[in-house]
Amino acid sequence: MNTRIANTLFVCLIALLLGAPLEAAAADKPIGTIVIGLPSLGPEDWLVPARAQAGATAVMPVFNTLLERDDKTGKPAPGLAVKWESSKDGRTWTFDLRKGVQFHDGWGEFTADDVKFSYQVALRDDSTSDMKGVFTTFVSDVEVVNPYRVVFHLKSPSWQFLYNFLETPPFFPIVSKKYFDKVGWQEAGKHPIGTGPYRFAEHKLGEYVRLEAVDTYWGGAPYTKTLIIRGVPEEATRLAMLQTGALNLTPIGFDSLAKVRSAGLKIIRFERLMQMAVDLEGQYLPSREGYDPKVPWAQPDHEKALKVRKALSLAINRDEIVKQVLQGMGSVAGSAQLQAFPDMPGYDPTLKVDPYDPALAKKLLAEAGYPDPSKISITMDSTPHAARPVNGPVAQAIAQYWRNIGITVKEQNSDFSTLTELMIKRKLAGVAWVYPTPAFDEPVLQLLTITYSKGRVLHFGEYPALDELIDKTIAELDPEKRSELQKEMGRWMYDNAIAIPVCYADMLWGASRNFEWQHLPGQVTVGYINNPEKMRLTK
Amino acid sequence: MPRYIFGRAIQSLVCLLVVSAVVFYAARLTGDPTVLLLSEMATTEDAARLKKHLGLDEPIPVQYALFLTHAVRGDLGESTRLHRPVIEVLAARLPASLELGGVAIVLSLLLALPIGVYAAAKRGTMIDVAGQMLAVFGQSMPLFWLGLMLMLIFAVWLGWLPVAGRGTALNYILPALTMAWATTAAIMRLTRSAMLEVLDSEYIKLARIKGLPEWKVVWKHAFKNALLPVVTFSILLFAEMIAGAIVTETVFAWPGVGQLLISSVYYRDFPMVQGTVLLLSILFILGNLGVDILYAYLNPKIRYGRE
Repeated sequence: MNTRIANTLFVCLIALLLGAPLEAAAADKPIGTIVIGLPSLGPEDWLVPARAQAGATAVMPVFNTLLERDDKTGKPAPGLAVKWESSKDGRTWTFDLRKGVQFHDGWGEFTADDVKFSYQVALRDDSTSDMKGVFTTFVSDVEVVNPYRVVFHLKSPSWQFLYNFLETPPFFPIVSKKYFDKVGWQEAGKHPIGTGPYRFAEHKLGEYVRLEAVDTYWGGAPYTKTLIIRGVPEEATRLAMLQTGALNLTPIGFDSLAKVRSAGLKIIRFERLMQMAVDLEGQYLPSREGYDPKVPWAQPDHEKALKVRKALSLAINRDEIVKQVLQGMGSVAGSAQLQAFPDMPGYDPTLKVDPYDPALAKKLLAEAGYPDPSKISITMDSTPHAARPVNGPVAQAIAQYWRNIGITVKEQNSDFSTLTELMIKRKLAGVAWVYPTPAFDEPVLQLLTITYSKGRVLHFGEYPALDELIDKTIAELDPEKRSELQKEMGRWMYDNAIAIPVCYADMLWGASRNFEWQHLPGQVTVGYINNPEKMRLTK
Repeated sequence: MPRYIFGRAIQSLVCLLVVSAVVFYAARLTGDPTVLLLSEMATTEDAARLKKHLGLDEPIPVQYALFLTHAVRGDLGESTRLHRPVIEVLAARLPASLELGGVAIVLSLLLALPIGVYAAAKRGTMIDVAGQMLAVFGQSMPLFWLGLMLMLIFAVWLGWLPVAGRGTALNYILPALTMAWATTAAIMRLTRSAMLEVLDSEYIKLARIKGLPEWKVVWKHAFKNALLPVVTFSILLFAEMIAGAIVTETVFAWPGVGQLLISSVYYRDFPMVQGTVLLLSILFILGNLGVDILYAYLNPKIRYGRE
């Protein structure tokens, strides 16, 4: 071969070999910026884990929890803990921790001392974190066995305790004891430090938070170098920003779908994130001050009350709601069981959704003593839920279905805090509201907080028989027996129609055309920004 | 004048005290702030503990006395939601509102004054009719709709301006225009009626008889005298803009005091509501005082108190 050609080829080969690792390195290094628009940045106080998850959404990428969720199944997977087990009696939970994980900005290695410290932070007097209630209810002590092993000692056996350490509400991120000791609580709340895929870089009060990728993140470097999370209250503004490229990702309502589609933007669906259920307020214990026996669905005659509730369910055209109100982003099939989602323990697929049968609805009302349905007066409150504000249009549609069978329906739109306060005080008799309830890992975990007479907030109804089932389920450590108990609970609620399941609904995000995101299954996410390290903009 | 200013200062303090008491009590009538601070999973004990920590378990008069004790030392408390001193949050948010309000009022004056003057000078003509129609449109158009339309046209369709947020000088244009729309109409109408009154006066007739050019009659003689009520009204409008920019701030994601107030009311962040309302009251009071002093300075006929 000609020497000159051979030399040229040789040089090209060397260049190729030298270039390849550089290219590979360049491909691994995070690049680009993604801007996410949220309706609110929350309280902008990042003193986690002393703050509720809903207020810490913007900084969740900064932290890790002990357990994470499997990308495909959503089931518990190793996070900062690589192994976990409960003692036979259910009174201790032991976590073996991941070694070599570093806190951001040089604040040292993550150890068991940080887990114990994070537990203490959650217990602060001013803590609004869900974990405070969990820890005060369940935990007697946290023991640091060695730098990589921590044990939670419980006051009584608990199977549900483990679920609190997943990367969904409640939110228990692990923070650095060394950092807090050095800078103090105030500064730690303004500039949070964690072990997550992104570090906290900048915060402009009322405007945005900027996070920068951690190249050496233990779970693999993020795709994207910079995440900017902006607070933009008005949805129309967020859509305009999406169209102009000022935002790459933002949550959207169902009525924005057409606009997003016509602009050629992407729609990301978190499928079956919530179940819409009509909350018929007033089903209180008769001893409650707010109990009103004149409320048709809560009257002392249980048979007549049940007929009224069933009638209200039969009057609803669920398929039309999914098609017209949710724009097809939801499903009716399989949604008959309150607070239960497919593939969840305790889910009973044999329960059938009520058909749309206005004639039967009127017949049941007549049997219940209301031959003239106009004598029934319902106030439908279409107040949007604070975290999942998509229930209003569903409530308005249901109000109209009830009017169609002759019921007198007044509509109102109060505010979420007033509504919640009245629910806590059990003073909403005669009001109906559509509750967009998210999926929990097991139905009883949510029912314990919303349909339990000893609970703080009441959504569906207070019934001693249901309380008993809930107590029994919570006490059952065997998963299979517990699943059967939850099916029994589901059947009881179905037979007694204490609330009206309507459909499953998706949570929607609008995104730029070149945005990609390997997010968790919709059902497990409760809508937060999960897997931020797997977001990227393609060319 | 010094005696007058002193007297007004005392009145202002009394006014602030009354406002603080009214806001303090009214805020607490809205309900329990722990409802939104805690999630649904919180227990009744959690709520009781948090209430105690926030001092909300004390009788309201005791809470008010504690608040006053701190307030006279410049401590307006800590935001229950943001967990920062109220003063710190207001200091961070107020500049955004002042800047936007300042740009909006300057824009309003630049647009409204010439239109108002010409409308009065050309009374009964098409210019006058056009000016009055502009006033009607300006004062009847909903700001929310206007803001979104301006955003759609200039940011989305034409791509000339940013959609929202605070950043470069370009970010000020759409929100300032939105805020200026209604105030331009109001200032224009006032300018027109003030000019009409002045243009009918004897000295203006004399100026014309003397043969002065019309532009001099209008701008040098009439306008100067018509300016007084317009300037004083504009100062009050500026104070109102700071307080009332909630809609504009929401549409354009502008991090000002208006948005802060609305979210504080929603979340029942009592210290923040109290602090923000007090601040806005101070702005109004200062605005009023400034107007009165300016009046006395510009119009030698006006004297306050005994000299």
